[in-house]
Amino acid sequence: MGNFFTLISIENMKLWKRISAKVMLIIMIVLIVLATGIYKYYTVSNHISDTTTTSTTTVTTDASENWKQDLQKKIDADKVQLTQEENSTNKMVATSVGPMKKTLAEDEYRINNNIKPESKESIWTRVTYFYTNGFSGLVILFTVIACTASVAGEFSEGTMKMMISRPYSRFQILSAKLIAIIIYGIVLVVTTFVINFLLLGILFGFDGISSKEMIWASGKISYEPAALKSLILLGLDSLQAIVFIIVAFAISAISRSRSIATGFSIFLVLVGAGIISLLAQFFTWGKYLPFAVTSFASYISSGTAVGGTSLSFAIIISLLYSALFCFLGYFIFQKRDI
Amino acid sequence: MTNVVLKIDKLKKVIGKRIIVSDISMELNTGEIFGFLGPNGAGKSTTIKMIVGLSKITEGDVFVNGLSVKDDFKGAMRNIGCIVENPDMYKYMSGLDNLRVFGKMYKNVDEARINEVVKIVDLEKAINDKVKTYSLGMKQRLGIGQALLHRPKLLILDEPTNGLDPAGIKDMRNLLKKLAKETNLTVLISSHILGEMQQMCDRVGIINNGKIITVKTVEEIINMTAEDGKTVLLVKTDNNEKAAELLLSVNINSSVMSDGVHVETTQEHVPEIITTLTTAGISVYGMDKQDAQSLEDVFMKLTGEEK
Repeated sequence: MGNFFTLISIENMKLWKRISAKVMLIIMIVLIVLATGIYKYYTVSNHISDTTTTSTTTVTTDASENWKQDLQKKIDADKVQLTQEENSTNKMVATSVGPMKKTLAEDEYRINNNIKPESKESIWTRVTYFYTNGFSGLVILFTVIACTASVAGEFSEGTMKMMISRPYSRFQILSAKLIAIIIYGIVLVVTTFVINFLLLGILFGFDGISSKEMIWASGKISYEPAALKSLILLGLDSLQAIVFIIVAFAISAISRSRSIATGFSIFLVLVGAGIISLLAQFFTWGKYLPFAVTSFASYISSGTAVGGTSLSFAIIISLLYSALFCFLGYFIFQKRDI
Repeated sequence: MTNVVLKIDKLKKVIGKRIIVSDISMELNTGEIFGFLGPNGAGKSTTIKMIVGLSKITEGDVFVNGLSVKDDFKGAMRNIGCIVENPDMYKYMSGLDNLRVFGKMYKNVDEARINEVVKIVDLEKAINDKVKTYSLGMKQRLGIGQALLHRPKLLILDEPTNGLDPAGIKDMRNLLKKLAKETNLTVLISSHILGEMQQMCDRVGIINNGKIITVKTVEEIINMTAEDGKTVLLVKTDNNEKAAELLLSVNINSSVMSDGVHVETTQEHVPEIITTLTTAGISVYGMDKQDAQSLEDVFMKLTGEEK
């Protein structure tokens, strides 16, 4: 019987032999260095980190008891705003209900558990900020490109027929590709995260490496190590990447044309998903559309943006759609003459 | 059964309502080179694609070394090496990496075997170059190389001489003949170029409009022309016009062509032709049987009858 792991290693080898795979990894590393460097330059030239942190620390040490009163005032004001937002008919206003609830819950948790606001950003906050706001999108883009090259590319190059007439089933061939692409994605994620973490640490210090942070999940706050929170957010971002990989994978297997698959998938990643999530904010049925609620990490990092959804809802909906796309891709690939 | 490497059993392919091929049955024996002949669109590629699993079989079955392509696809594929349509390889990899990729798919291929195959297809110099720098002939040879890696019982080549220059065609012919003879490899080779097949193949199957018209040895097919009595002789003389006139006057059909006089005749009339020409004082420099044309004649006749 054909060894499936051999097939995965073959796909992995073919993927990395493409120049684009290496170039994308290099682009990623260059961008990390650039972005972190520019950020450091910006903070140094504006004396942001130095002045603000020192001043706040002095203020908080002096008025260490005042922060509770200040925070309570903010909470009261926020509560008023929340009721306004909740009663508002304006759909745009409604999108800030979720984030507002999250802020309120966090502030109340601070007061109840006597947790002072952090005076200085921890390394985990920084690295997560960089990742979820920038690099996660690039990881999606790059893995989608690798995916369409590996699946639709083989049709366009004519090598797919060389793969099919082998002692392996079509199911095995397609699955090996999917796994190899996910491995490529993992390599991108880990490289990005590690390099960015080290660079930020070297440039800004590894402060707060064992600090704790609040995690906002399913309407509750829990106080956990910041490292764990970073890992959870990273995992959720990777899950989002997998949703897009599966769609690109299905489109590739169905269209069999590299240009169509790449073009369509990138459009979906860059524009389509944004439009659909806008629809979800304005129409109640919108949240059931594919890609309406795929930014899983935002449920924890900034609160629910789409009314009537939760993280588990988002994951289940995306799982169902991914299963459907997967099924279509496999089904058509199995049946079709090549 | 042991001697039959490929058995095609009443193969049929229907796409939508259109019948692409039907009732294709053939048997290929160990060590023979079998030519699969037919005009473009006759169903050669469809049949080959069904054998190697690229195209789903509507009806019938294919057995490779006794293993059914339908029921034991992996087993059947382990006995086949093939190039379908073009020798499409991974252009961004070197020839050697391509062979490694394909070799990994079989248990019995190691680095030594890969080197051996590189020698067989004579690509030692270019094997470390990227495939995108290869000429078509080199790609064909690399294609044959990847098909031979796992020592298959059956080699299937779909239009392998397409786009090759005469020297390349000759090399390929010699390579295939050598492989068939030395390693008992069975070769199924499809083509629409008839001259090719005649020089290479032991037997040919002729397909037209999705149906097998005839399966015969090359000699049998050529003798088919002899049976109806007529072959074309190319006669070279010092005065072609006069020769043609003379022969026409004794009721032998002949015409002047650029390369000589084409005489349509039977074997028993050959001495008569010679005497007629020599007594008239015409010097005869040569007489050739137009063998290269004969398979084509049969082919045209057979495929013509179908219409």
